[in-house]
Amino acid sequence: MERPRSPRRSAPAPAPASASVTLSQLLHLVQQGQEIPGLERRHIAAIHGEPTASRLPRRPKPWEAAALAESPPPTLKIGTARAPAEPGLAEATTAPSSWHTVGS
Amino acid sequence: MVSVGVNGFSCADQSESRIQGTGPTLPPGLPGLFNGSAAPPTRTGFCGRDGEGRGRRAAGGMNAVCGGAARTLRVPGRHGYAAEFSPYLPGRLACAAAQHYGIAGCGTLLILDPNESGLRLFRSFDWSDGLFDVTWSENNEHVLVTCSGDGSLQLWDTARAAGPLQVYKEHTQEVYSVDWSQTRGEQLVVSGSWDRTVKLWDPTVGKSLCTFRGHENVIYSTIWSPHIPGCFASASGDQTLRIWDVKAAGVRIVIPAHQAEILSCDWCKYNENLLVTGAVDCSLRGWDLRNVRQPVFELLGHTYAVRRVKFSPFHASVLASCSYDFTVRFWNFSKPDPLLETVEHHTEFTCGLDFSLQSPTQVADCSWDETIKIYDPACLTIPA
Repeated sequence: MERPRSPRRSAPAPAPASASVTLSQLLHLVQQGQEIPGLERRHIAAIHGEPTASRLPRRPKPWEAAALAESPPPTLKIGTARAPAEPGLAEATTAPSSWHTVGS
Repeated sequence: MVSVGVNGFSCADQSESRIQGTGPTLPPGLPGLFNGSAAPPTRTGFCGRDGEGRGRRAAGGMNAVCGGAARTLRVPGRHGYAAEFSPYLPGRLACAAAQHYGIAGCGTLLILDPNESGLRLFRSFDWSDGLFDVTWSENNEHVLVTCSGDGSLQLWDTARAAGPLQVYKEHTQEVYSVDWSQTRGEQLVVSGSWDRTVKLWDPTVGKSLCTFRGHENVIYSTIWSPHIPGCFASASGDQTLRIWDVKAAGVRIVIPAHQAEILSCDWCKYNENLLVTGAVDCSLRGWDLRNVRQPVFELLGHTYAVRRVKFSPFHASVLASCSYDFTVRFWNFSKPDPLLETVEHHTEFTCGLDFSLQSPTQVADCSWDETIKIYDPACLTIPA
């Protein structure tokens, strides 16, 4: 049976209380039922607030910007019908019918 | 006193740790698991390792970060699980972290901004349990959602000092992934849990809209399609990648993508049919949803489990992966020699990784060595 071994640390740190327990040391402590040094017990609850109002517009993703740049000029007009996007970038309304699961 | 035997060691119950009879909650896919059968649905199977790979540091030369020194923030006592750039504010980064590797103790959400000398901690929020993933809102620059080991999701507001605003507790085990929808007109969050379910949330509603069942083991990753509204992917310890359709309220495709636990998946940003998976077998595989009988690419090089993988927001064939081998690797799957660069600037498991949405060259990562880094890897700064 193999047991977790202590990973090497380059230097034994003169450390703050909560740090410096390696994963293996921690597993060993848990396994032995020993106290874990620096364990922080917190009991945090929701404050049930509303989010601060957004002030920034959504930025287009890089791939959306690229698709827009490649679209014909009329598509840049605001309020017109949506332009035909690049074939690979179309926002399909459903998953493509060409998708097949294994065994289907 | 409950004793739980797990792959070669037993753990006594201890009320202050997360080991409470359901098995120790160890991180998935730890080294030594590669040849085993499917791991049980707990963070089990840690067989330990010593020496190999450990103690390595970025030593300059080929693998050094050449595009400029990394900005580093050290967070004593916190182990990073996920890093995500803000979709609104250039350089702002959120990091989900846990005390004691996520096995015991609390968690912290860290909000960072770059400054002249490196990285500045803008705000931090504590939670009662380890935080494993974080996602930014796509309709409010102040808002984020995290998920945690106690089965809950938390909604945070960076403009407030206190939080969380809301807590959503429905999952019955660890929640390992959250993702905010990327397609316009939808503001939905998916969460993936070790209870084997995916849940769909409207953050303005106090309870989940829908629960997706089907995975036969724990779920490690849930990611929305950047192109197809209502479509998301999930990766699981059951060795499958699954594609789901919210409108049909069910699974569309089941892909047996690896013969190992799959810890991460992501969508290509320039091909709506293409995904990548990263697994405990150390490999990355690309999947074209029009023909999933075999992968369209396989990327080999990591020496331990791949913990997270992401496609570049700027380049159709570039992706990055981080691993329990401490490295972050950059790939271009369209090249004959796809490995672009190996970054070795961490000294522990590297779990969090993200590309900037504003700078085509900037990347962030976080590790269990208690550091968070933002940097410009050479392979992204030098045109190929």
